[in-house]
Parts: sequence; structure tokens; C-alpha cells
Amino acid sequence: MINLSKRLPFRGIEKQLTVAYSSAPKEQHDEFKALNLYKVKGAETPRRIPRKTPVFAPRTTQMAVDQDWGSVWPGPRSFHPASVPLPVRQGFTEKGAPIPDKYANAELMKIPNFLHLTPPVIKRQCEALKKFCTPWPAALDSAEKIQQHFPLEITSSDYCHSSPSIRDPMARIVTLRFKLSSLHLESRAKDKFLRLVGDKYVKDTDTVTIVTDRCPLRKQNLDYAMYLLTALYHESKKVEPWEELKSEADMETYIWENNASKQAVEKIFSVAAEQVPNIEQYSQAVTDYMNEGENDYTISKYGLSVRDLLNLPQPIN
Amino acid sequence: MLKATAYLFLKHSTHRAIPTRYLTAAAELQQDERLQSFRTQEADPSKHSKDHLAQFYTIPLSDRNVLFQHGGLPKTFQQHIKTFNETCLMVREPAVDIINCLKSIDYDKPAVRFVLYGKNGTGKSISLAHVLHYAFKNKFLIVHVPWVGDFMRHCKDSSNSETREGFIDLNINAAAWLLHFRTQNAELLKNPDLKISRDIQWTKRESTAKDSSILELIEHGINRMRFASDCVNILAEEIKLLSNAGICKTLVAIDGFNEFFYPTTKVYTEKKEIVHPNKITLTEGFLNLTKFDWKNAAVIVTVDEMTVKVHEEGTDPSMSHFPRFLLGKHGFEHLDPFLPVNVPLFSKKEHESIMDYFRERRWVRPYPGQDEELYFLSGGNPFTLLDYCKSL
Amino acid sequence: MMRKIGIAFRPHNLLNIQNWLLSSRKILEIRTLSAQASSTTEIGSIDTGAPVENGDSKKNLSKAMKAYLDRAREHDEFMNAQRVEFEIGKRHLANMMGENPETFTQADIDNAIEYLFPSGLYQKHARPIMKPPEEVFPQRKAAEFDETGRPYHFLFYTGRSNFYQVLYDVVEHINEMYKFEDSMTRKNLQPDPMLKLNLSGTEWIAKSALEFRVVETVSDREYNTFVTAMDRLSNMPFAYKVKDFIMEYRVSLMNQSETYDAIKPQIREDGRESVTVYECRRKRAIGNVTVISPGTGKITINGQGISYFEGIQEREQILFPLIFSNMQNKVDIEAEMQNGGPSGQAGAIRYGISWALRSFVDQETMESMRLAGLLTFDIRVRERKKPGQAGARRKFTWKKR
Repeated sequence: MINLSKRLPFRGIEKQLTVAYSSAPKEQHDEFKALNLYKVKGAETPRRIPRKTPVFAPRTTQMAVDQDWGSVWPGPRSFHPASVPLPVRQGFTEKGAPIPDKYANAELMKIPNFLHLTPPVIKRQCEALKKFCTPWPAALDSAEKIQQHFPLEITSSDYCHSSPSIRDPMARIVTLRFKLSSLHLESRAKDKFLRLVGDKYVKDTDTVTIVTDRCPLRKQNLDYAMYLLTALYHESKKVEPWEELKSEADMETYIWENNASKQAVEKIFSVAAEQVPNIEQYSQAVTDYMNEGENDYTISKYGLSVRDLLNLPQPIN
Repeated sequence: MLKATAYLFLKHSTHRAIPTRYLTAAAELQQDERLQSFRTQEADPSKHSKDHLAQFYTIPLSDRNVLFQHGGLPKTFQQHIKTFNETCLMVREPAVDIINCLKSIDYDKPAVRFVLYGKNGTGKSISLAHVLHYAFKNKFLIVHVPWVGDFMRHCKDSSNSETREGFIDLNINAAAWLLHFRTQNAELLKNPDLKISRDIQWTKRESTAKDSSILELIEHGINRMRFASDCVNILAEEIKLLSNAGICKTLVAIDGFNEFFYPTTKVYTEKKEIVHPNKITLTEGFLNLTKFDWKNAAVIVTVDEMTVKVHEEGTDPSMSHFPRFLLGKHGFEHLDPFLPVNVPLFSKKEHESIMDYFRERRWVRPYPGQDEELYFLSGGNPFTLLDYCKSL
Repeated sequence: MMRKIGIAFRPHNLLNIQNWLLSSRKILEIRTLSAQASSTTEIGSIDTGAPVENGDSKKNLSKAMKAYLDRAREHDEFMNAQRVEFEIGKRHLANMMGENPETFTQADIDNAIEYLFPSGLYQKHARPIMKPPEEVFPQRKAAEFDETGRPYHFLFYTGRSNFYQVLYDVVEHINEMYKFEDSMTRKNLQPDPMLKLNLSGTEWIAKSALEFRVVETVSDREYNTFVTAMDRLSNMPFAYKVKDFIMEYRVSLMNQSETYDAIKPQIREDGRESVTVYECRRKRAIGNVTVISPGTGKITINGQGISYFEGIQEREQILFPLIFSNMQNKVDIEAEMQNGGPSGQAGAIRYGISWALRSFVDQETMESMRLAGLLTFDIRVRERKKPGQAGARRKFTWKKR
């Protein structure tokens, strides 16, 4: 759709010049020219008409209402008022004054625009990409199956801008998530794993989340995350010699057998702990009290068990 | 009118203020009955039971002078006593629970420990006072520490201990406590059976002989402040021996017990270093008393959030009023197994009862909807309620 | 180019507005230039059917008059062109977004523009918009007099013809109603109490709205005159006969229309009804408040009871709506709050409780709550510190030398 009329002005000038030359008076080609000290009016040399840059009507006037916009604006480009057929306005004016229109509007040019990504265009692109996609496997229809076959979940983000670039520093971040139960660790190893992982583990959902962003590329971050996972797993399986020295103070849970509570009971009743009546209830209550934290429920359970242990009457209410 | 005044003098004891309602000619009978429903005439805590819950009973002045001369009741409450001219305690569930247990304990078994816990201002100290009154009425030997903070945070003076290496003595405080002990147990100490079991050598020249009465030991401690702390420790041992032998039954009541385990105190050595309670001689005596290796005794202890709050600069989000947190590992192991007794916030009934009491005492001017509003605003917390009623 | 003629007028008053005519108001009779143009465009041409005066005046048409007419015509054409451009642009936009151009509404246009030109500018007015030209360009009056200089409007010489037309109409209606009253009195008929005009919940349009409607400036005094006149009209016994006229100048109070739309309660698992108000704000505090009925007066804030707030002022703030509407022991409250301090959070919870209580309370109490200010969003926020001052308002210490 090149506008052939563009050539017209050039043609016009050529013509004018040829006309000028052809209409110049025929001079005798003698050896010497006549001396013209004073300006004798001969044929006037044609004035050089400055080339008028033609001002055309904007392209929008020639756009059809049902055109394919994706072909008109194929890629990201800053706003060009003569190519966008919308009477969009932007600006903040005083009361009563109309908002400036799109021509020579710097604000509209500054703003990022997504004219290259309108919904039909996106649809078209998705259709084009579809041939590179494979269908979802039919066997993976429930969350449990997905968890069982694919326990690792790796997440990363891509960013698109209103400029041609898709590079974004945030795109290198990689998040690795998995459930601790899928590692099948024994209790000692699990305890060690939890101490190594710290607060990256959430107890309620039993998930470990590892976020890596220390490398500049996504692939590198992914490799690092997998390395971390491997290292954690093998470290927690290793048994170090100093683990024998684990004392009561290091224990992560409270075990009634090893603690002063048992000794106190034995001293009170002067018999071995097993023979004291209501002892299981008491030991269970103490363990829960220490492990689950203090709240009204655990305390009241503890109180009741002590009452049974020491033969005290039940609470009056 | 004369008959009415005669009736007044017959009915009320002198120390109690004459309620103004009887002086008005047009006294509504219904209002009297309602106002009376929050009081109970039962002045003996041993007889307090479930039926007396949410009612007020008066401690007679004589008992009060003996028990709480040197402390034991919270400061705000003491002001109320002055204003209302009577010592009225509300009968509440924790105190009745403990009294019930005390009644049914087998005193030949090792000592039972009770721990009173609850949020700030719910009435732990007052419940303790109620149990003390019960113990007093039932002729227990009372070992009462009104507020451990007095030792740890407001110690009057400190000096290096002579008998123990590296320990600190709190002389004035120990002597004051001995005085308090003597006042509380004045009657019982007259008993000649309370004797010391061994010779105690204070210095080259001073000693207390074996089989002299405990009263002498206490007198010595009070007079000679230098030995007061040691005196307290020895007294603790002696009391244990006496209880084991069955000569007397003891009730140990300590308010703010968790301060014995809190590492930061305001006691300083000469070098201005903070002293851990472990290094204070008094601590040892009282911890000894709270063990379970003696008979014929009961131990009641309160744990208070306020002790920790005062030490910390800001509020710790992990702060809780529960005993395990406040006692710490050592404290818990020391007291385990104990009976935790929760001192709850006011129930609606208790709230109404105390509001009736305030209105009757003319402490609060009544207006409709007052009870619900105050219950909501205070959230059931007794201390906050007292605070808000100040301006009503 | 504007030459001043004896009548003092402002240029923008001269030009016409086509769409103004399109609205079906018969009160203000403005004739567009195009309507007149049919009789006057043939200025240069010979008009056979023209009356004698016209023929004379055509020749005597002054330059100013010509300019006036030209300007009006140009504006007319300009607005038409804008309208056409807007319509075409709308179709283009619908085509771009893959929507049906026939059913493309202004809301769709706004959404599409927001999608294509995402702007993070704080002021919504500063963002890109695409609106019909009537909304973009300020309204102007149509031609007020024809080429002979004869004004169309009978009140032209007041200077503010449209405004005085309104007052004139009011007086006309009043006079009509006097006559009607007399006739009814003669028949011994009373005004029907059922039909009585109910103006509650509405108020007279604001001065700026009146200015916009009348396309003229209205001074404060004139506005007061207008209000007095309308009040007098509406207080007449048979005012319901001119209800349409009066209601045109009434606008409903925003608060009230919002007040009466209480949230519909949802049914919880345990069978009780609950209403949740999301995003309750005050200063920086924000959170959700749930009111459950029937309840016992239990209150939970962030998992704790009322002891969450330590000061009595905050507790009283929360108590106030409950006591005011006597719902203290009848509902339960659950609130989750973030950010802000105690006072801000307490204010936000109070607003949330009041807003939710509307669903459990009758209209009268709702109205009294609104009057008490419980249902008003408190917009007060901490004012920014300005450079050159010590605080928001506090200046630096002034030193004489």
C-alpha cells in the first residue's frame, strides 16, 4: 500500500525545471559572452521553489473499521497518533478546558502501551504456539496422583514489557517446593533435616520452600536449587560422631522418661514409676503440655491428671 | 426513728460503717434484698463452698491485723479497704477449689503444691489471701511471702554472705519477713512444742541452744540483722522437721514465685553486677519449703506476669501468663507435679455482684445499663474494672 | 477578530450546541443555527420566498454578525466532525479488542483504554480517556439572536435567559396553583394526603450543577433566590401537581441512598446469620469485621478479646455502635485488623460494626446511626509535612532578625 502519489512533487519539480530550461531564451554560443555589468533583465531564472514537504491526511482516515489490527501494529512501539485510529486524550487541564488530543501529546507517548497485544492478537499467538504444546496426560487427574508422581514443584516467572525486550532481572528467580513426606526420612534424619532447613519448612502444609536468586541466569539458579536439595538430603542421612553427645537440653521434643518429672514422681511415691496409679495419664499430660505448648486445654488436662495422681478432689464446677 | 437506730446498733458491729440506706425513711425493701444477695454472712472460709460463689464475705478486723499487717493484700485493694472501712473478699472458684482440696488432702503424704496462675489483674493475690484466712482459722503454721519482688527488686540492702561463699544476703528484707512471720503466727508460736532440733552457732560468742523454742530463733534473727537470712534458712529446715514430726501443720504461701527463677534481679553486688536469684541466700530457704519431701504441709504459689513485664523494656510477643513459661524449666521441674489452678476473668454473675457491692458502698453512682457497659469495657478483668470505677 | 458590539457578550455565548437541543426540554427554547441556517445560508444567493426585511438585512449584514454566524457554524461543524471521529474510533476500538461494535458501551471503552494504555498516574483524571465530544468540550449556548439582531429568547435582555426562564416557570406554576387551589376550595376538596410530595432524602441541586445545566454563571445571590422560589413552590399544598418539574431540580443525598442498601446476611455453618464488612479503614488501619447474630456480646479482635486494646478510649469506640443500637448482648463480633495504631484500628472496627449492623436493625435506628455519624467514612489522614515548614502546619520559629 505504498502511496504512489509520493512521487508527484518530485515529478512536478522536474517538470518545472525542464520547462524552465526549454523556455530559456536561445543564446548564441559565441566565444565570449556579452558583458553584463548591470543587471539586464533577461529571462528570469526560475525561482527555486522550496520543496514543500507534503502534509498528508493521517493514515487513520484510510483505515477500514474491520481491518486486522495485528498487522497494523505488529510489535511494541511507542504511540504514534497518526497510526492509531482512536480519539484518545490525556492530560490534566484547568476547569473548563478540553483535554488535549492525541496529536503532539507527550503524555501518551510516554505511557507504555499494549497496542501490540490486543486480545485477538494474543489469541492468534496462542493458537500459533499450540502446536508446540502437548496435551495434559489423562492419567494425572487428581491432586494426589500429581503429588505422588511429581513431588517437586519448580516455579519461575517471565515478564513482558511494552518495549521489545523480554529481559527482566526478576526472571532469574527460581522457587523449589516439595513435601517433606515425599523424602521418606527416618525420625533422626528428619530431625536433622528440619534443623538444617530452619524456617523454610512450614509445619501445617508439610512443605519445604527453597528460593534461589543468587545466580544471574535461571538455569544456574535451578541447578543450584537442585544441588541444595541433594546436599540437604545426604547431610541429614549422615550420622556424625558428635550426635551421640545430644543431651536432654538439645532434644526437640519432651520425652517424659528422661526428665526430672519422672524422678519427682518416683520420689514422691517411693516406688518405680510404672507402679504408680494413673501414671500413664499423667505422663501423657506432661508430654503434651511441654510439646504442644501451653493453652487452656493442655493445662486443664494436666491439672486433672495431677488430681488423679495425688488423689485430690475434682474441680468444683 | 429511735427504734430504727436501736435496730442498727444491735445488728451491726461497730467497725463496719452504717449503710446510709437505713437512715432514709423511704427505704425500698426490694432493693435491700437485692443488695444483700451479694453478701454472705459466712465469715469462716472453711465453710465456703459452691453455694457462696460470687458473694462477698468480711474478714474481721482482728484477723486482718494479724494476717496482713505487713503485706499480703494488693495496694489498690488496701485503698479500697480504707474507703469502705471493711475488708471484703469475693468468694471465687479458685480459692474454694483449693480450700476444698486442702480439706481432703491426706497430710501423711508428701506436700501438695498448688500454682495459681492467670492474666494480670484477675485476682491471684486475693485468692491467696482467702486461702490464708482459711489456714489461719484452721490453725496452720503460715509461711507467707507477700511479694517476692520485695526481695528481688526492692531490696533495701544487700551484703555478702558470711556463711556462704559468693552468696548475697538481704538483711533488712529478711528481718522484716521474720517480723511478718512472727506476727502471723503469734498464737501458734506460743506452743512450747515448737523446738529447734540442733545447736546453732552464730559466732564465737552467740549461739542458740538445741531445744530452745523457735520464737527465740526468730527473735535473734530480728534483732541481729546480720544473721537474718541464715536465720530464715534454718527456720525453713526446722519447720520442715517439725511438720514431718507431726507437731504442726504448715501452709506455705508465696506470691510471685516465678521471680525466684527469673535471672534478672535488681540486686547488685559491690561490683554492680546483677545477682541471679540462685546466689541469694533467701531463695534457698523458700525453695526448700516448696519441695515435696515433707509431710503435713501444703504449698500454694502464684506466678505473675508482672514480674517479667517489669524487667523487660518492651512487651515480648511470646509473653504468656501460663505457669510453664513463667517458671522456666528449672522452676517447672522444681514444682512438678503441681496442681495448676486458673484464676479466671469475672463471669457475668461475679461482675454483677461486685457492681452491686460498689453501688451499695456508694463508690459508684448507678445509671441504667451500667453493668453491661462496664462488663464489655473491662472485658471481665477485675483490675481494669476497678480502674474504670474510680471515676464513676 | 472579535469586534465588540453594543451588547456586551462573551464569545463563547454566541456559539451553539447541537446536542442541547436534542434533550427533550421544552422549557428553554434555543434554536440552533442550523435551523436558522436554512433561512439564512442563502445569504449570497437570491432567496425568492424571503420576506422584505430579510432582503434588506442581508445586505446590511455587518461583519461582526457574519463573523458570529460563521463562528457558530464552524463550531457546529467541528462538533459534528468530533462526533463522527468518536463513533469511528469506537468501532476501531471494538475491532481491535475483538468485540462486537454494536454493543460496545462507554464502560467497555473505558476498560479497553485502560488495558491498552496502562497508566499508573495517581490522578484518575490525568490518565488516558476516550469520551464522546459532549463530555470533553465545554457546553456552549446556541445562537441567541438571529441575523437581524432579534433575540430568540424573550428573556434575552436579562443577560441570563435560561436561569431567569427557570424562575419564570416557577412563578407561572405558583400562579397556576393558586387558581387550582381556589377551584378546589370552591368544590370543598382538600389536597390528597397520599399524594403529598415527599422531598426527604433529596436536596436542591448545587450551584455548580445549576450552572452546568443552565450553561450560564449563577451568582450566590441568584442561587439563593432560586432556592427560595423552589422552596415556596414545593411548600404549596398542591405541589404534587408539578412534581416532575420540582424533581428535576432535586438530587438525592448520597449518604442516604447508600444507607438504605444494607448488606444481605449470609448463613453460617452453625445456622446463625453473619455480615462481613471488608476493608474497614481508618487512618492506616485496615481489616475485616464480621457481625454474627444472634450472639451473646462476645468480641474477638485478632484472636484476643477486648483486652487487645489497652486504653479505655479504644474500647469505648467499639462499644458505642452496639450500645447506640441496643445490640450489645445480641450480636458477636469478630475482627481482624492490620497496620495502624490502636486508635486507627478502633475507629475502623467501629465503622465496620456500624456498617454491618445496618442489616440487623430497623430503618429508624439506621437513620439515627447515620445522623450520629457512625456510618460516615472518616477520611481524615495524617497530613503531609511540607518542605520549609517544621510540620504539616507548624512553621519554623520566626525570628525577627
